[in-house]
Amino acid sequence: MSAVVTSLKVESSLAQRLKAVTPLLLGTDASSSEDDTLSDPGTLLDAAVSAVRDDPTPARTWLLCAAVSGALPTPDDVAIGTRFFRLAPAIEAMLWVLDYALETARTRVAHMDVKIVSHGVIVDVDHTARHDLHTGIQQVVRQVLPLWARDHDIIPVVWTDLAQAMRTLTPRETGRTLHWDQEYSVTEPSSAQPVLVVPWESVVVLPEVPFPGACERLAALAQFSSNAVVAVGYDCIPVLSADMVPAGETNRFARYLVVIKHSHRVASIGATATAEFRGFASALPAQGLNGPLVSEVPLPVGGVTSTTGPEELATGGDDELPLVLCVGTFEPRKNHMALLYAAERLWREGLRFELLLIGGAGWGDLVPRTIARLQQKHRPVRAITKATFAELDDAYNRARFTVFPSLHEGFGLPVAESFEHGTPVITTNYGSTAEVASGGGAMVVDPEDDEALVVAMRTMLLDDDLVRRLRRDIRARSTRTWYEYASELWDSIVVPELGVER
Amino acid sequence: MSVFARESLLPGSADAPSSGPAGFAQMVESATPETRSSLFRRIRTLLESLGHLAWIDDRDLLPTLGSVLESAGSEELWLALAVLTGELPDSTTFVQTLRAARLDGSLPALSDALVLTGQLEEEHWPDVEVVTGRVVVDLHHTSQTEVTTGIQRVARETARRWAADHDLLLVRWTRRFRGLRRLTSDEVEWALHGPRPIAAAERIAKATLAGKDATGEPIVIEGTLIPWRCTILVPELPAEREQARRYQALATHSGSRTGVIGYDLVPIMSSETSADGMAEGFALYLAAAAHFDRLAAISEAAATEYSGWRSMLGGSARVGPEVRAISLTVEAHVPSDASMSAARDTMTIGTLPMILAVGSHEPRKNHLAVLHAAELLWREGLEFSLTFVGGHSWKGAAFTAQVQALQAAYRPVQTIRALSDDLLWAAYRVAYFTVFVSTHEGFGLPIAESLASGTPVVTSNFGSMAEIADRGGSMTVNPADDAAIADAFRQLLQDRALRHRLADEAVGLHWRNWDDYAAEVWDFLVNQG
Repeated sequence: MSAVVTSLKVESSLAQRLKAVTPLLLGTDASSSEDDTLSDPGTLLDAAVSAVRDDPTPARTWLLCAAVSGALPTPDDVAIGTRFFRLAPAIEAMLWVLDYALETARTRVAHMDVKIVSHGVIVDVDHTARHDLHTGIQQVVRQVLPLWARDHDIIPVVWTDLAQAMRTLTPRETGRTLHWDQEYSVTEPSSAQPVLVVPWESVVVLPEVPFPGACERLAALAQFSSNAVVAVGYDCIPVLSADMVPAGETNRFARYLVVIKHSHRVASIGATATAEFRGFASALPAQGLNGPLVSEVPLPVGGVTSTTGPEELATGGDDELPLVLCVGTFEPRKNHMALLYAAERLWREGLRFELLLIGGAGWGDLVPRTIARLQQKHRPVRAITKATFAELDDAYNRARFTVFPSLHEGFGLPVAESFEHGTPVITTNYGSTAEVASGGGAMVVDPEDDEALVVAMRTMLLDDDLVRRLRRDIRARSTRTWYEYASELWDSIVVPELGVER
Repeated sequence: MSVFARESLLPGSADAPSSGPAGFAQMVESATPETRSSLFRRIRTLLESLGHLAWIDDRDLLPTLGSVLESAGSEELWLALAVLTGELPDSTTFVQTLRAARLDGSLPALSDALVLTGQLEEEHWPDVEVVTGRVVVDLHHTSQTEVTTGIQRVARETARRWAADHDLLLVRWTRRFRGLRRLTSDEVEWALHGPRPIAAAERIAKATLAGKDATGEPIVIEGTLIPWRCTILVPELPAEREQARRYQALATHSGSRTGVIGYDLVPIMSSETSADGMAEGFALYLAAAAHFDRLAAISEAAATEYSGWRSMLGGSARVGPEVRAISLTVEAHVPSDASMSAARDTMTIGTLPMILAVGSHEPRKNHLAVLHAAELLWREGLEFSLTFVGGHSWKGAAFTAQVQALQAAYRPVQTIRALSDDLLWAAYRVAYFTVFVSTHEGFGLPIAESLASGTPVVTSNFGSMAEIADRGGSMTVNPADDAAIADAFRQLLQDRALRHRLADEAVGLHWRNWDDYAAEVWDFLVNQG
């Protein structure tokens, strides 16, 4: 593409954007913007800048900056712009706006059309839409978004490559987000060219923890724009248990908290997240903020899908030994070392069982080293870091019970998964795992009390009646569907913000 | 099974020397004579600390240690691990050793730990001193920094008064933050009375190299101190990774009582106002503080923050320290006549009223809003000058550029990097009023200093700043609202009666002194409960 064509495209994009934003700043009806007097870019710019100069609020500065550049402004952009509009003569203000627009002119953002969304619902699904990973948060998004998309008007968005702006999804990204379980087509017609999205008096939903690069602009959006930011709150582990997360994680999470502190609502996924986000909000008056309203919308635990009846005991591991399963990334927080200690104690007592650990590779060499040493002693222990869905499913079905003694957990997906396979669980006696366990089918222990874990595992291995009773208890648990979760989430964080005058 | 077979599950590495029940003895056998005698010296120290007679034959040491540790609880095991490795253990090492001890006995577990921590490979085995029942105060940073403001000021003023009234052991961390040691007499002087003149500092450095302190006494820089069943007080911010990890284990397992002064949660609650990377060290410190007994917050607002953090800990069943607000204070200083006239000469222009802003140039201090408010008023035709006192800090470039732009337009604005204490107190008195509209503060010392000088303040309408301002002599504004800041300036500049009334209020305020503050913190952290 030649430079001339490029600049024409940039110019026409700018005109399109100004045309979209000016009526909002002037407070005129958008339909009247078809008026010919508001079609010349120069006239439009003049009108938009004078409108902001007449009433230079941060929210109006935010909108003008976003509209002319396509990129969402940073907090500094808004502060500098607002001060500039208050002090500078009209002509300088216009030049400042053009300069500002030029900053992004060399990036692809400048070539894209902008859709200004008023009174809409925008959902940031960046990570889910861009990656094929299917871990905890992506699973939530892929369950909730199709239901929301079916029942409500929503606009899923991702961030542009340089994390400057939000845009609509490509067909492939839509497939990953809304049709994960289906063979989605990635060859849809190119008419679905992504456009930039600038929300205005809208609700911006964060069902993921946004990636750090987007957080500064999201914070400005939350603090200064006329939009309400609402979020799903998973946990605050990186700032509360920094000793148990990889380097860099805490700094990234602290940037996310800047977005949360200016958000309106957080739906916490369970008891742990509720305590953490409420505690966070309660610390904010010290800096003159109220923080988000936190309401708990617990993630669902479904009914038993396994065909094995509650009175049957699981078939066990490869050597017909009872199988003890632990699912969780190999990281210190999951407390594998306590489990290995308890298992070794029980093997030494002469108990016979196989221990299977399934999880992401994580970090640290303590657990793999210890497993290797146990294997040298011919202890029946195995670790699998790349289990397929079928292998995982099979392991849950064959396990006599699962163990999940995590030290700090936002929800504890493996506990829910174990229940969905009808398999009893030993898990942590506090926070969200205790909350999920309280529905029946689990024994809970203090994860820092090795003796308690030894006793619980011994009991579970020796007492067939107990295992049968817990298996029956699991069948009697009240269940909750993803539809119920998605509806409650919508009602809890989106509905109250729709149509609110800000 | 052979008694020499490795039975230990945890910890140790695959290539660790075979330990087993007799592994410790084997390890001792294969060690060099120097290592063996160092290890024996530490075993004797350990036995004595555990209340056992240690003047026994070398060959009886191991059996004695084995039987002493047979019934050891976790506090005794923490001590054994600390003494033998010559450092404060981190939680991972401690818990591993505890599990190994339960599986295979204490001696094999400890010999594995000596391998794991690398101590066995060390040529240098610093002497280990165990203290019990003492009050130990960590002045690591305060004993060596040139900084005399903020945390260091509080730590110094507080520790000096504690040292005068109580029997204290002042300590700092050894290299690589793996253990504690006593402060040398020069370091004590520095920690309690502030940085020494350069000449003295050089003298100390030279003497330290020669192994002697300034008075000619030999000093043992590498001697390690293990506090056991003590009271540990931390008036500073121990945010180094290793330091925090070891404090966490100490607070959890060593049987010591622990207390800390809590300043604010800015790196976590306002990470946008601090340099990238600050949050991590601070959160590691919080992970340790979660296991401390008491936390004295420097203001009601700081207590609000720490209490919020404490309820966050509830999500993972941690109780956190008991939090109490014990507000910092200020002691007014009357500047010399020379400083007063110097301040008038250098900081005021004729009879123009001078607005003073004290604080480092970083976004959190909101100095760009102050500049903007001032410009709005200059354009209105109001006459006043504006003086900033404070060092350059993170992201200060925008401020500098704006000041230069205003100076180019002949606005009466100046910046001064640093002032002596006396001159700073004079500046407060010379000012017509001061402004401190930070977005987030643990205390806001410049507000208190201004009021103690009888000078009114414009400050933020929330948190610790509002707390101080509510005492009188102040106007509060929303710091995010530039126009509100300008309004407050305008009122104070135009309404002489208002300014006089606020100045009178400021003069009439009563401030607790540092003695009261230090005594109250001591009472909360050491005496109560």
